[in-house]
Amino acid sequence: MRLQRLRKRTEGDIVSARLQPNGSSRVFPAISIRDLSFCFPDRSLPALRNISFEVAEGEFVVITGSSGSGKSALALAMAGYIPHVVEGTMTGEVRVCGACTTEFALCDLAVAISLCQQDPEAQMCTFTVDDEVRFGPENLALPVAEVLRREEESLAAIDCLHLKGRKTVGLSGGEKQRVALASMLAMNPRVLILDEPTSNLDPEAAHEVLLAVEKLRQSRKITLVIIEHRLSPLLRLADRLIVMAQGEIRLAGKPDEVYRQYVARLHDECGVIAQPPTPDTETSAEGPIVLDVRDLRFKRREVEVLHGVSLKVRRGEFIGIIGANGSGKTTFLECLAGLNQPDSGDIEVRGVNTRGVKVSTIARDIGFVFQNPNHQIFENTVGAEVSFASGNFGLDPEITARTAHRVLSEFDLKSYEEFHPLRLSHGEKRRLNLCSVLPHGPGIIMLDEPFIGQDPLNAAKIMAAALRLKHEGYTVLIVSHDIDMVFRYCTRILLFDAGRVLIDDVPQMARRRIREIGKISFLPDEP
Amino acid sequence: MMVKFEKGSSFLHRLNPIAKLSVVVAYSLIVFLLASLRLELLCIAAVLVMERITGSRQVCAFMLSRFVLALVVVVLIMQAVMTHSGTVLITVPLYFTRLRITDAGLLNGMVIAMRFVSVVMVGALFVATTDPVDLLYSLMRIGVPYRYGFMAILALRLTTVFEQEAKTLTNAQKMRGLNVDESGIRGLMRCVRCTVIPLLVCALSHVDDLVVSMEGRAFGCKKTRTFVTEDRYGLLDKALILGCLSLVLLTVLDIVFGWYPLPHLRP
Repeated sequence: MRLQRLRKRTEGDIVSARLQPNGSSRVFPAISIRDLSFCFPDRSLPALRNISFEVAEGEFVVITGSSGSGKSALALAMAGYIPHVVEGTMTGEVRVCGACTTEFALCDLAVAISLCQQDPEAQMCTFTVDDEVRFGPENLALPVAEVLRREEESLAAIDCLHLKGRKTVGLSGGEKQRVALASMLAMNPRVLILDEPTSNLDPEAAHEVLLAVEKLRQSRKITLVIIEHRLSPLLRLADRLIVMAQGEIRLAGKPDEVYRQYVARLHDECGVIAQPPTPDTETSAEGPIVLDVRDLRFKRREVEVLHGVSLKVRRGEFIGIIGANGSGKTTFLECLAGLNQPDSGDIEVRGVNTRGVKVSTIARDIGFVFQNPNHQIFENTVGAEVSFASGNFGLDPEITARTAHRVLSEFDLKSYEEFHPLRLSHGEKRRLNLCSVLPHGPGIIMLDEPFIGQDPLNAAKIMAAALRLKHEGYTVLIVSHDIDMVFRYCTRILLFDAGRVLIDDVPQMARRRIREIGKISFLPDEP
Repeated sequence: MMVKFEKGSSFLHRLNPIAKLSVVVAYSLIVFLLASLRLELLCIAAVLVMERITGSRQVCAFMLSRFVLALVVVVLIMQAVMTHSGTVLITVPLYFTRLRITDAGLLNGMVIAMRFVSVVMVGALFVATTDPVDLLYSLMRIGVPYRYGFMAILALRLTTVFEQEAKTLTNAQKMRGLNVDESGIRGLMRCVRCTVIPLLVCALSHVDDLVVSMEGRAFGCKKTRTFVTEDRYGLLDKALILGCLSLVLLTVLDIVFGWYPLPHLRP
């Protein structure tokens, strides 16, 4: 009943809620959280525990922490989705511009606070940039002139006026993220929350989005809360850095200070998990050639996306493939796996030309871990999932079971053997994906964007697993936007640019050559 | 063979979706009321001319697809067999009974089959020349509740996403040795199971994202919403809508009052 009545409140009510009962006006904090705890249904541990903090109007706060530390739950609570949409038990209080989120309907809160999600593609409701940016104001039934004014202002605020009239399907990753940002800005919120806005983007697109955020901060006095794993580009912009762990705030304060403490802690933990390799490229460069690609060309919808790629990979090499979105990295891996048939050129896997060879035959030699963990989980238990491929290849069940047990133990997943794979965390699913391509002994492992949505600790665990495979004699190819990770661990770097291999060298040389050609966004942070 | 919207600049492409929908509704109604083989063929010829004007070849290709041809033949045979009046042309002896094909049955079968062809063709032409998103926006502007309209728009949007995800799933299955082409019925069932569950998981995740995105932009908080882009109704659009409405109205009145006898089957 109460919510039904409150649903009728309008934007004006939020503003009036900012006035004290005695009539004297004072500015409320943009966000005020007191003793907030939240527990998802069917979970024993709370996602948020006694969180209390305030964000002043116009402040820029960055929140970071490990996967499952409660960052996204906190964002949902701040924006009012908890308790209005997300089920669970909430205690404590969240106020946005003075208005308690439990007392206002979500659509009323939407004019005060907006949440921009991680995947811009997934949150788009329409087909054109114009419709997408207008979507919110149109839902508010604002006059046409006001809707158009907001559309213009929102796009201008993040330098996206040139995207007007475009279809969303043809936009790059960075453009999509900026359009998602503009569509939230069109609601005219006082507070904007961005949940990992750059995690799906290549370094150039991520840079574009952060420039847009910077411009937004300058042009509007908006309060910004960004949840992010990649902290270094945000440090100079943010006023405060909050580090979360196990549903609690562990560190909070000036970005530089907190970052130093956080990184020191992470280095201790990650360094133990995945030690960066010493230069051992000499040994790996002497192994037999396991992949030989000659003048590979591939067309998609009549447009050539790979223009004569040539490459020789030796056994035991650990190759990091970097490049902008759409530069052909994933298409290249798909060609190697036989999922894309090249228009011309040759690919030899362990000396066998793959032209006309079935994918399932190539799969005996190449294990391919795709980008989204949920796209490659097919069985009902973790144990069955790991044995899935071996069963399909008709390998001996006893040997398969033994290998599966060994692999699960090596990847810290043994205790989950009887669990449903979908019950695992994102990081655990990623490790399971990697486990699942090993028992049939493919020899070459390809990982497509294994670090998306992973905190540094989980990323280090994946890297440690990949390093272990390399030491066991596997050849590993990793496509990633995490430039630091690639340069830290890989023994050879390939930079793709518009369907060509622009640079193919050992990390030290690749760093120098990338700097020379001016593609500085593909350089790792200075150690 | 699927009929999909193709961009174009023909006059059919330029017509307002509501005007085109009016024509399709009126055309289908008239086609069902006319029981004359000549008139049915005339209607089909008219649709073929229209297709020629649009420059599309989708309608003909669709009609000549094995699926549609088989349906047409089944409709024709069923009607021919089920109608017993008229002069017997052929008798087919069966184990228990005899099938008699009469001239009236054959004509009836041909008319019903042509009706089917006619309605499917005009529908296909409508789909080939109308952007579904434009149609949905137009319907919302003339009063269809926007919650339902956007349900359909989101379904269209997610269709492409799911197509892409289904392709990735198939690739992931192939890379782990599951091959739908080689494993028979049991393998096929396994493939379906291995595809449905991950697709469902992805769909639910998309739904979660969309709920956050739509609720966060006040979707559904007002009974009506603003539509910035207005529907343009040209003179031809208005004339077509008015003409179709009048035609439907006149036909209904004619059926009620019997002013003019509509064509009926005459062998």
